[in-house]
Amino acid sequence: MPRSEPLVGLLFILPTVVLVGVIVFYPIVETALMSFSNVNSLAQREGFAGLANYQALLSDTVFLRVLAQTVFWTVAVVGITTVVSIPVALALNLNFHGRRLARALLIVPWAASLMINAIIWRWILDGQHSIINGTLMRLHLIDQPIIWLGSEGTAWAAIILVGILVSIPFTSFSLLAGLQSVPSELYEAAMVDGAGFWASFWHITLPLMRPVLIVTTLLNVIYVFNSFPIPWVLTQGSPAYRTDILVTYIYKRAFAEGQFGPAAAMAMLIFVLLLAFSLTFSHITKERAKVGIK
Amino acid sequence: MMKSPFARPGRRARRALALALAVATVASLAACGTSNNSASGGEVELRFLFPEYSAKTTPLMKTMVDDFNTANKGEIKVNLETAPWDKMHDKLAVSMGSDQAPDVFGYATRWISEFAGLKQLAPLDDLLTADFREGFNQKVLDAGVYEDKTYGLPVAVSARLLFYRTDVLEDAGLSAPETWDDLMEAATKSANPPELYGLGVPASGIEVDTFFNYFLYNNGGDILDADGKSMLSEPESVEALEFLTDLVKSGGSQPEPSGFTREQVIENFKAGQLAMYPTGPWLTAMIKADNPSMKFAAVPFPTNDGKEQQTVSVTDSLGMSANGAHQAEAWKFIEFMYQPKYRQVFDETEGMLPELNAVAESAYYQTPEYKPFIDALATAKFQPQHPKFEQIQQIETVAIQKALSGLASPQEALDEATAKIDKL
Amino acid sequence: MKRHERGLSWWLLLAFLAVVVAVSIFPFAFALSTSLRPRAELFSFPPTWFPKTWAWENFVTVWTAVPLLRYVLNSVVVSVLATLLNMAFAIPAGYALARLNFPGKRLFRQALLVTQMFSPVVLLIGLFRFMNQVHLLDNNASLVITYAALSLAFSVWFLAGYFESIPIEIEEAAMMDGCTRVGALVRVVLPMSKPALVASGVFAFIWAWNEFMIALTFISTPDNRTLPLGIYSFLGQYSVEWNYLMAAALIAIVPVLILFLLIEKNLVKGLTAGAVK
Repeated sequence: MPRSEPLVGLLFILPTVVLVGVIVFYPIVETALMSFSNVNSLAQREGFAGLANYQALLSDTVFLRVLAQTVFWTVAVVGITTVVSIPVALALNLNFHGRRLARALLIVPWAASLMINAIIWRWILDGQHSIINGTLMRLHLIDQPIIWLGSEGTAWAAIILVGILVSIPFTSFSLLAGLQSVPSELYEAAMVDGAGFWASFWHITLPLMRPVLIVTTLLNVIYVFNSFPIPWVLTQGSPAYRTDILVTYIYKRAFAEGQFGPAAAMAMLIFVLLLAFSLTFSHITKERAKVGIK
Repeated sequence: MMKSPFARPGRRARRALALALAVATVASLAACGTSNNSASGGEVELRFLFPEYSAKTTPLMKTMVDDFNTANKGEIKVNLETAPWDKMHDKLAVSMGSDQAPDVFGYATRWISEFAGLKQLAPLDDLLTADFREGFNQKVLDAGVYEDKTYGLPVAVSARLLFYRTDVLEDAGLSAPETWDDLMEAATKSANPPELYGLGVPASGIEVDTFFNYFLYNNGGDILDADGKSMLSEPESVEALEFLTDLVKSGGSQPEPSGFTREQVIENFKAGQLAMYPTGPWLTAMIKADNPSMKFAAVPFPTNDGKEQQTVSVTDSLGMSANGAHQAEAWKFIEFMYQPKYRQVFDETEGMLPELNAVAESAYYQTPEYKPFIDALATAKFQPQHPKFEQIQQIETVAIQKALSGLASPQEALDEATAKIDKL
Repeated sequence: MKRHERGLSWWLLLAFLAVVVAVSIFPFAFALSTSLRPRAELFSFPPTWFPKTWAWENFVTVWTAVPLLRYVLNSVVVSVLATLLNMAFAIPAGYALARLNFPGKRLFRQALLVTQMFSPVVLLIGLFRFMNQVHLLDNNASLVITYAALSLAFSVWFLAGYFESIPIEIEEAAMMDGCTRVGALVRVVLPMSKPALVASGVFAFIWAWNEFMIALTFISTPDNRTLPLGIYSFLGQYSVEWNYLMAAALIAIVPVLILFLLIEKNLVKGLTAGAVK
C-alpha cells in the first residue's frame, strides 16, 4: 500500500524529472516548434508557418506510402517476434543440458548494437558476395545469385528478418521471466489432472503470461516503429522509398534534403500515433500495464 | 539475504558513497566545458573539421596539423575534428545552424550555393594572392566560384573515366568502347554471369545521380538549365535513361542495380567480377594494392552518336566560416595546408587528382596510370550550383531507381522528377 | 524447475530453440570468419564459409589501423559513468513510484513513456543546441548525461516493478526501528534488490555502449570518439574494410557478452519481478 508522503515522493523523482526534462523534453519542444515554423536548411526557425508543414504531409504521397510501410514493418516484426519468442521462452525454461549455453548464444544479437547487426547482415546479403547465395549455389539450389537487397520483396523480407532477430532476445527473456513467475505447482497440478502440454499451455501458461506479453508487445511496438539503423544500413530506402520507414524518411527529409519543417511535423505525427496506440492498446487489454498508462 | 538488514553503515553505505562520488565526478566533468575559442596566453585556437575519405584520412591530417601547431607554437593552435564523409552535410548544417561552425572545414563543392546563400562561407578572393592562385589548376579552382566569388579551394579532386579490363574485352574481340553502341556490345558480350558481369551499375546509396550523369552529359543532356529549371525531361535526358535501362535489361550489368552501392561495385570491379565501371583515380590505387595482377585501363566515357565528350568531375572544397573570429589565422593555416608536400601525400593516399600544378607535374602523376585522369580534367564538367541541389540529387536518384527497377518508364520517372524540381 | 515428461512437445520445443539459436548466431559466426580473412580473400567468388588463409593478425592490426584502444577506453568511461548516473536517479524515482503517493505520479509515469516515443534521430537538433548552450559539445560528458537520461525511463519502470514485489512489512519494521525513509531504502530495499539493480544497470550500460547517432552528432575530435564511431570509420567512401570492421565489431561485443553471462541469473530474476508484476 503506497503511503502518502508527497514531499518525499516529489523529492525522489526530482532528479529524474530535471534530467529527463532537460535532455528529452527540451529537444521535443524544439521539434514541436519547428513543426509549426518555416525552417531553413540549417534547421533555424524563420517565423511561424501555421499548419503548413502538416498540410504538406497530407499531399506528400511518399509520406503516405512510407507510413503504410512502417505499419507493415512494425506489425510483421513485433508479431513474428512474439510468436517465435513464446516457444523459445518455453524451451529456455526446460531443464536440459546446454541450457546456459543456449541462453548465452541467444543473447549475442542483443549484445551487439542494432548498427553492428545491420552492418553484418548487409555484408551477408551483399549482391555478389553473399554467403547465403554462395551456399545455395554450392547446393545447386540456384545458379544465379539472388540480389536480396535489390528488389522490394526480398529486401523487405531481409529487413524484417533482421528486425525479428534483434528483437527476439529481449522478448524471449522477458517472457522467460514471466514463465518463471508461474508457480510450478500449477503445472504439476495440471499434469496430475492428465492435462497434456498443449492444454496446460493454453489454459495455464498463456493466461499467466498475459501481463508480460502485453508489456513487451507495447515496448516492442514503440522501439520497432522507431528503429532507424536496420532499414538505413541495409537499403537506405532503395528503390525509390519502397523500403523506407518513417524514421529513415524523416532523416532523409531533414538531413539529406534540408527540409526540417516537414520532417519535424512527421516526428510529431509519429508521436501522436504511438501515443494513441498505447492508450488504445492499454484500454483494449484493460491491463494496468506498469509502463505508465494507468 | 535477510541477515541484519539494519546493520550499521558498512559496505552498503560505502557503496552508496561511491555512487555519490561518481555522480559528483560526472558533475565536475560537466562543469569544465571545452569550447573556449582562445586559450590563455594569447594563443588563438581554431577548429578544423575535415571529412574522412578512408580510415587513413585522420592520421594523415593529424600529421599536417601537428606540423602547423609546432611551427606556430604560442600563436595559433589548430584542433583537428573529423567526421565520416557521408555525415559531413549533417554535421556542418547542424553546427552552422547553432552558430558553431568550425573555422576551417572541408565540404562538397556543390554545397557552396546553399551555405553561401545562408551567409556561412567567407569569400576568399581578397586573401588569395596572385602567387597562391597560380599554383592551382585553374579549371579546378573555378569550380569553387559562385556568383563571381571564390568560396572554396579545391581538395579531393576527381575526374571519372571508364575503367575496363583489357584482357576481358580482348577475349571478346573488342577494343575500348568509344560509342554507346560499343558500350552496349562490350557490356553484353563480355558478361559471363555469375562470375563476370558487364558494366557496374550502382543504384543504391550515394552518387546514384552522379552515375547517371555519365550518360546524361555524354548525350548532350544536363540536369539544370541556366535558370535552375530541370532539363531531365528533355529528349536527351530521357534517351540517356532509356539506354541505361536497356543496358540493364539486356543483361549488360548485374541484375537489380538497386541492390548495389558504389562501394560494392568498386569492390566487384577490383575483384575482377565486372568488365567495366566508370569511377575516379582511387580505383587505380586500390587495384595496385589489392589485385596487382589485374590488367586494366581507363578511357574517357563513351559518347552517344558523336556528341561532345564530357568528363564527370567532382571536387570537394576547403572553406572558411563567414562567422569565424580569427579569419587571418585561419587563412594562414589554409596556406600552410596547401604546401605541395602535404597535398601530394594526401592526393596519393586517398587516390585523388592533384589540385596544385606542382603536384600534377610530379613523377607519380605523370605515369600512364594517372596521366589520363589529369588530361581528362580539360573536359571536366562539375556539378551545378543550386541552393537546393541536395534535394535535386535526391529527386534524381529516385527517378533513376524507379526506371531501373521497372516501377516507372524512364519518361514517366523523369517527368515526375522535373515536376518536383521545378516546384522547389 | 518443472518436470515435463520428455514427450514429443519437449523435443519439438528444443528443436525449435536450436533453429532460432542457430539463425541468431549465424551472422556472428560469419562475421568471425570474415574478420579472419586477408583482404584479398574478402571478395573471392563464389564466397566461402572459411578463409583459405587464416589472417589471425587482423585482430592485432585492427588496434593500430585506428586508435581502437582509445575508443574502447572512451566507451568504457562514458558507459560506466552513464550507468552510475542512471542508477543514482532511477533508484529514488523507482522507489517513489513503488511506495509513495505524491501529486503528479500518473503524469510522471506517462511522461516517462513519452520519452520513449521519440527516436534519437528526431531529437538530434535539440540535443545539439542544448549541449551547445551548456558548452559541452565535443565533450564526452555530453554523452554521459544524454545516455543516462535516455535510458532512465526503462530503469525506473524496471526498478519500480521490483521494489513493489518486496514485502512492505520489512521496510515498515525498519522505519519503526528509527530508520528514515532514505535509511530504509538504502539499508533494506536496495540490498534485497540486487538482481533488479544489476539487470537495469546492464541495460543502461549496453544502451550507452552501443549508441551511435548522438555520439556522431556531438563528438568531432578524433580522440574523443567512442567505439561505435571508431567502427564506422572502416566504412570508407570507396571501399569497406570488412575484415577490420568485423574484427572491431566482435571486439566491441565481447565485454557486453561477458557482462551478460555474469548476470544471466540475475537478469531473469530481475525481469521476473520487474517486468511481470
